[in-house]
Amino acid sequence: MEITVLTTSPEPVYEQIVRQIQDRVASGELAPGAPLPTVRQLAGDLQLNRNTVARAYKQLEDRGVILTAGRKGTFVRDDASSEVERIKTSRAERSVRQLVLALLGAGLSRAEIETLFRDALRVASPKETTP
Amino acid sequence: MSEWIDFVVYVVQLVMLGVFIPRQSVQFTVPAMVDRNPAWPASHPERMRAIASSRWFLNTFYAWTVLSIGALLSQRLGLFPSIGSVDTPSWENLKNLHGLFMTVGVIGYLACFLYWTRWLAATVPLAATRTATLKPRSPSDYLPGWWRWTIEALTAAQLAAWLILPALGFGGGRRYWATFAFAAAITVSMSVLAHYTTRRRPSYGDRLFGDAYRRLELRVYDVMRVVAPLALGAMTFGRIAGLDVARPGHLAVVLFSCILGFAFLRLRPAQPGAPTSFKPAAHERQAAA
Repeated sequence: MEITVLTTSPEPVYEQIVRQIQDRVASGELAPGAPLPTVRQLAGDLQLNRNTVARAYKQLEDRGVILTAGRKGTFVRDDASSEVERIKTSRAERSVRQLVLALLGAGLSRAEIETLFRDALRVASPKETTP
Repeated sequence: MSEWIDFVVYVVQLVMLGVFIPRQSVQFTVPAMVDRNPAWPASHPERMRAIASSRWFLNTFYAWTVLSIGALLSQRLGLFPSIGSVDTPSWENLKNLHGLFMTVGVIGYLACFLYWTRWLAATVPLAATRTATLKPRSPSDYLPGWWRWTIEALTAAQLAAWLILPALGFGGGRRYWATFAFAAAITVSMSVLAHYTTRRRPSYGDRLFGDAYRRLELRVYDVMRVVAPLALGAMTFGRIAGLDVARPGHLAVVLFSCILGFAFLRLRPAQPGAPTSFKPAAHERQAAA
């Protein structure tokens, strides 16, 4: 199981690490209780500053995804999956809200926005949206 | 003991350092560049051709080997002037001459390695895309439990023996404890190196040889933890017993270094798809191909 970062990406490197670890927890690739590499190992392997990886781990810890147990190491929390789902849902809600506000600001009506969303869903996943 | 035995042992070590290890080392050239930046070799074909055709490194070491063996042979045949005093035994003169050439060879090898790493860092930029495993590395990934426990037990038993024997009337004195301190320092250093080796980032050696590379490193440090204090102990107690252990002890150390060299030479590039704890990302493999 690997993690890949792109140092030239506009997304900060620590956020790429956070996102990828969260995605693996959400998909079940990283099971609850699974150990993670130390900050030193991951920073060394990715040839990054240790502070960058430490910042990512701190953010994951603050979000309740991982748990640092002193010298024992860093582990995925037992309730990490639900926490990641909650984070994903809230991030999706925020994105949709911003998009709706932008569309309303552009002068589209409520009905037009609903139509746009329905069409977009039909294109993205036809089976689920077809009655 | 015939001094030709000393000569043969020294020649084996000189050939190891001057011929086989440089030949094995040049295999790392391209993987080292791919490790830093998979796209760089493909985008610089001229430089790659120049590197592939360059033979100064190998030729320098071949010349050093021929010169060293020639000097030792001349010394052995009495054609080379003694570098010690006239009272120095001839085996010791041979040993000193060998030591001189080995020092030059090792310093030369390290200088080439330093030059190479600096050239690599200055010439090949780090890739923007970097991949790492999310699996923590631990010694148990590379060495079985029985090996690790045996090494720990032997290390503890040796250090305990060094401490207990003076109480039983064997050894003791300033020189004894200085040797013990040296043995303990080697043990601690090797433990620290093994600890670092488990955690260090995968290098081009890991890419080329797979897990066998890190496994060999760990085994070397573990063996050194046991063998170095054992050799020092044997030399100390040989001296206490009135035996002249300097010459066989030195030859044993030279042979041991040759065994370590052979272990390095036995490494073979890992088969594609062989299980390793680290693999480059798919896009890196494509770029390298």
